Amino acid sequence: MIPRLPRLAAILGLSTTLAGCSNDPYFDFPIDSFYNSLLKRGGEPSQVSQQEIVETLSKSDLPVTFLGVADRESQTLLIGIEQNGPYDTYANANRQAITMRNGMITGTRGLSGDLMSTDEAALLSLVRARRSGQATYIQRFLTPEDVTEVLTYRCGVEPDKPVDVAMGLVQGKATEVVAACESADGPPFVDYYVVGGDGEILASRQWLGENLGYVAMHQLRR
Amino acid sequence: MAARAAKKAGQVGVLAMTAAGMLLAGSALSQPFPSYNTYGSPGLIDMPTAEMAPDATVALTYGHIAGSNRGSLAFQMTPWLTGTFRYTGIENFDDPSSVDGVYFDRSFDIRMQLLRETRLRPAIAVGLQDFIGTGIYSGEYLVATKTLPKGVKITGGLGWGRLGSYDPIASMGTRPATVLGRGGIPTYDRWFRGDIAPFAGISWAPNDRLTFELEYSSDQYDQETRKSDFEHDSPFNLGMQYRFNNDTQLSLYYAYGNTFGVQLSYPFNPKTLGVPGGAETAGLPVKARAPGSARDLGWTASLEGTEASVKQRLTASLDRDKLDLVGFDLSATRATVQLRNPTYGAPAQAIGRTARAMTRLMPASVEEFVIIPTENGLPMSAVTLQRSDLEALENDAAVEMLARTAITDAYGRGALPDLEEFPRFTWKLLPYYDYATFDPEAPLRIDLGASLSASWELRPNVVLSGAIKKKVFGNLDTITRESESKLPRVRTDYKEYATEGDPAISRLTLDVYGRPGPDLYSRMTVGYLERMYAGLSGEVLWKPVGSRFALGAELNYIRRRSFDGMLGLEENVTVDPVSGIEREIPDVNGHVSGYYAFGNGFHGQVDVGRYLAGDYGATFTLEREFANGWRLGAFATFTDVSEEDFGEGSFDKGIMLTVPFSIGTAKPSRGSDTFTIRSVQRDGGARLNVSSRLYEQVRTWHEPEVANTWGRFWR
Repeated sequence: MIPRLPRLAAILGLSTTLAGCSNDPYFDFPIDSFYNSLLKRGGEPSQVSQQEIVETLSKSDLPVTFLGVADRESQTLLIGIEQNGPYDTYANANRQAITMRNGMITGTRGLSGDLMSTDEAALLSLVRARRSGQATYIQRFLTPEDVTEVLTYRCGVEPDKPVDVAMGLVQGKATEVVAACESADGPPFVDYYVVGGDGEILASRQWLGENLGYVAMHQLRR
Repeated sequence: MAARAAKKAGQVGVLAMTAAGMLLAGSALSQPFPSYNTYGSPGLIDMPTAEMAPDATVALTYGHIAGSNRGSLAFQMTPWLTGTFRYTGIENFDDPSSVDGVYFDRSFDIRMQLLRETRLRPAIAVGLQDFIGTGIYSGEYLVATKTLPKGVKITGGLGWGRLGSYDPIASMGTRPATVLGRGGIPTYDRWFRGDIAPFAGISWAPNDRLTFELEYSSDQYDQETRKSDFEHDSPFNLGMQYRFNNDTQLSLYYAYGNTFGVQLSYPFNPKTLGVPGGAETAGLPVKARAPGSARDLGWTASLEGTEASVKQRLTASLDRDKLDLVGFDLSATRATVQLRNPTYGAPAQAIGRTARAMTRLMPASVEEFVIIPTENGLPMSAVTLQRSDLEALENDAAVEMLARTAITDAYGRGALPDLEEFPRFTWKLLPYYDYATFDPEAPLRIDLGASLSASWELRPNVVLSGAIKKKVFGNLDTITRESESKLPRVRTDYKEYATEGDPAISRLTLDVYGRPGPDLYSRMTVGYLERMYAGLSGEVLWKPVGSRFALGAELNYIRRRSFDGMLGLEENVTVDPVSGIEREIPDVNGHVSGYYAFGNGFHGQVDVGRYLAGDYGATFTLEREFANGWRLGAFATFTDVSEEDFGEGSFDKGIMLTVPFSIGTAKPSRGSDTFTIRSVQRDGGARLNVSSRLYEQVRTWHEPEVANTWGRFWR
């Protein structure tokens, strides 16, 4: 038995320990991360204001994209940080990133429940050409087990009405294209793409899997 | 008899995190979890059904019915095989082994699906209930279940043993009642013998939340009726179940014609629990080289200067991903990196992030990246990637990159300049817990406290490390039961260590690691190896980098530590508190170990050798592992100690559950905690606990394991 006063001291000592300490810079105290993950579960709702858009656009000349994850009530502005062939990677200060090919999202990182990669060539080609047709489209995800899950979709693409685009510094005439996709591996979805005259997707509502749901993308500066 | 199971220290975090993981559980299962019966198996109220849970499901249940408290852990080992471990306390039970009227019992069930359900055919399963040991719940069954429209399921079956005791319709031979050995042995002499009785049931789930159950039980509850105030008035039992959002089931029962019962069941699946792909931030994107730039070798004129500056920038870049650069070598076309990974549970993720950082910093002519992961200063493998592949495949399926990656032995390739300052000193102050289970006087005892650990790396492969712990709360020191042992008391003196050792030095060792040859790894450890023993431990492991098979040998020279947990050593002689007999613990023990990764998630290990008490034999371990770090398994040790000398349980056996820390935090982590549940801790078949054994460190970076987690390469 520990006498009463030392026991109190011991409790205080244990509370300090619960905060965990170490001189190791890489050490993540498990209970801290546990609370963080619980409190920040699903990401805090965040909205992008008009002022932030203006500020971000004026800060540099880099491409800027708006991304909204409807299910999480979360919006963010991403800045173009890298290009690899036809793929452009955009990221924000929280080290969240998306990769797009001609404006079609082909991967996300750091959003939790990320889309790892896609086989998008056939679908993208129809969408960019604003043509009707059928295309195979593949999405890959990691499961909680860390196994890659491959969902193969069959998509029907239809061009829709012409629209005028005026988002940030991206303006001009465009065409809406609808892609309706079905698969035996996953839920069906319908994507909307707003495709500019040069075949670049200027805005979209794209399905990024069951964890992210539908996300909205607007290019604000290309 | 004292029934104290494995005891081990760990970090408190994991308990909280398991809970968090459960909150984060995704319920995207196509196959729903079945209902669990009062024995913790898929079933109705007391009766089983032929249902199987989704592959890999783990279910925890706790219930109270008619004076019986039952807790269980069920594991769907394969899609067609279920195992259940159960701990029961029956109140007011008149038995010589009851403590304060409560009879405690541990039991195991196994069931196999013979036929899967089709449109016309029912599912059929065969099961053995309480098939090891004293067998109070011993019974076998053959059962069929058919799903009908509108949420109705019907079940019918035949029971033997306990499940054949009410209104039997036939008989198959006689069923012996004697206990084999000292308990703890499969009761094969009883299986499917004696009376046979039919049972049946129906369940109806009007919606996803509610299920109503009715069963006709073939169990007459003979033992309970004879030894307690249990009354069996009716074979019909009723149940109602509510499912919460996180799949927790709350069941209410009206059973035996006179009593109410309640049970909480929590099924979860290591395959679907947690955040898919994790919530950590993005790694760096690949930086593709400008066309033609790879031919420019102009920079090699100042190779050393470039090497130094690239090294510095790579160190900073990896640091942001919580990776350590411990060695670097640059030539005109190849960059070699020695890497330490304190962060990522998936080895492929550490390699992937390093490779991507390299694409951003290496001069354009450098085409080949060689990443050499190290553990305790030893190069574990050499992962060779072509930069043009990284550039071309960044947005492709991860397997494309795996197909172009070479993983080879890193023997002799570790002689790169060391970047870090040695000696390197790190320390941690963390909470810890210790536990002892299955003592009938207190089925669960727990200590909570603080543990201060430190590690002083004199050279990358020479590590002085230790830990000291101080209890803050707990009741491990209240163990009073003493049991006689016919062997040297190599483990059964646990009580003395728990009561006298506070604070205690859990471990204080000097480890020297080496690579004596290709495919060979070695370890020499001297000091206070574990809580009960000090000494010298040497190990050699042979593990080819692409092999699923490994072979190791370990030899130990030991001295018994003093109970007080300080630096004192004792003679290797123990005195039995019951018989007063002095017995000697041999100075030398050791094992030859074979390891095999079956490749489908199953992993086996066989250790053959001499145990602490001087007994010779072998330990068989089979585990199912998941790429995300979960592991569930079982082990059994058979030695030349007779069942009588071993005592309760007849031989050493148990189950293990490893929970990865990342499950609750959704952040990458190499940490995990393993819970070992032994039916009884005795002195036979007991091995020395050395914490720095080689195999887990080595296989992490070998081809099967790296390939297993490759989905995270681009994460």
